[in-house]
Amino acid sequence: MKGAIFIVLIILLIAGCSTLILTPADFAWPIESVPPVDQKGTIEEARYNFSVNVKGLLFAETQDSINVSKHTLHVIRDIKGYYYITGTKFKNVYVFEHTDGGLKLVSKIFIKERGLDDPAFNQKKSHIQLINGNDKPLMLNKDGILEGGKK
Amino acid sequence: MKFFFYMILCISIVVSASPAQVKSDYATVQKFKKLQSSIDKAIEEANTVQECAAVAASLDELDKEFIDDKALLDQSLYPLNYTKTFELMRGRLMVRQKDLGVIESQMVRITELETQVRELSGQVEKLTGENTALMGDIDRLKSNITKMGGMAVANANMVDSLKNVISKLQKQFKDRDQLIFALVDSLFLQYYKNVTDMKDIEKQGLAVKLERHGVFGNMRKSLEDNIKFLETTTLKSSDLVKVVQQQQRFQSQWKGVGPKLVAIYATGKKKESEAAVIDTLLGQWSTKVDYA
Repeated sequence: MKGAIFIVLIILLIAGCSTLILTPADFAWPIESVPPVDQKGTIEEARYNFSVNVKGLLFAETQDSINVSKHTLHVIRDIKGYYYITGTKFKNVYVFEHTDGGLKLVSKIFIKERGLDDPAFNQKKSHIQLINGNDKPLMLNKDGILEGGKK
Repeated sequence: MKFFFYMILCISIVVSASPAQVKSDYATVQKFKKLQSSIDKAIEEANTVQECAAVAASLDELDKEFIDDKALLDQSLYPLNYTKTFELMRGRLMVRQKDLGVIESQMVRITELETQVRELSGQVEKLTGENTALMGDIDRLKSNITKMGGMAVANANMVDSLKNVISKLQKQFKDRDQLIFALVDSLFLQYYKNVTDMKDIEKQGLAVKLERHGVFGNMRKSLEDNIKFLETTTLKSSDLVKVVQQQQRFQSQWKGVGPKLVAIYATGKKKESEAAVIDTLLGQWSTKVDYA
């Protein structure tokens, strides 16, 4: 009898602790957003009701968190929900995931030592395409540049 | 010789095989939105049936240009989509037409003429580019023939090439002249009346269109090219006959169209002088034809 009660309790405990996951989900933005950074260091995308302060990112890339409003960033969200952010003269693409009240860096993808001249993201569902003027387009995912995507 | 041929072939293959530059989806959407907004503005400001027809033709052009990006625009024109956006714009144009009392059958005919004008204008531009390249080919071939004077076979091949280029260029000059006058005719036909009966607003509208399609500039360019062609080439008598016919046709068409164009710009001294330039160039062409 005691054994049966114990098993029932264990089952109830496991059921209570298991995480409910809803799949499949599609978080992809159809096109990138190109928001300017305001005086406070915030970018906004009205369509997705998305806003975030990017001072920390700008400091990481340019070592300057004072003159932030001269920047315009390129932001896109992939199908899994990761945010990709870069900008003109950036050497890297930053990949973030959603966290409690903010974005948490997942990876920093090095692209070009001289910085990007004219970056743009395209949504390709299976990956994010990064184009930069006449450079060969790169295929990105949250972990970096996909094989075959860079010469 | 073979080496050069293969080298050119390889270069052509490499150039054609290199990937086209990848477009930014964002830039495509922004371009569409910018054009859409300028068409919306044109709808609001349309005051004549011709202006409504020009907007209708612009809508068709916009649709044609972006239909390949429909899937992208469907997702990006939120809360509308591609089809709904066009429906709304065409609806607004319809309301504007009703406000102006435009008759639908008249509108259809004028829109057809406007579409024709735009196609002709594109063809004129294309031919002008090709003709410039062909004239460059003639100069290059002539210079090569002079350099290779001693090599009989190569020389014969180049002379044949030169003849072909000259013949092609002559045909293209004729085609371009016809296109320019067809374009002017299509523009005037949209107004169903003589210049003297046109309202000022109609004259202004027509002047803008003539300007947009560079009518005077294209005529001047055509005449200058024809003159340069005669100066730089030695023609057979059969080709010369064709040039004479072409020059006479241009002259008679200009006789019909010139006064109408000048009347459109009744107070525009600059355009009067442009008409005088056309007269002068026609005179020069005629003299060159006589001497050739």
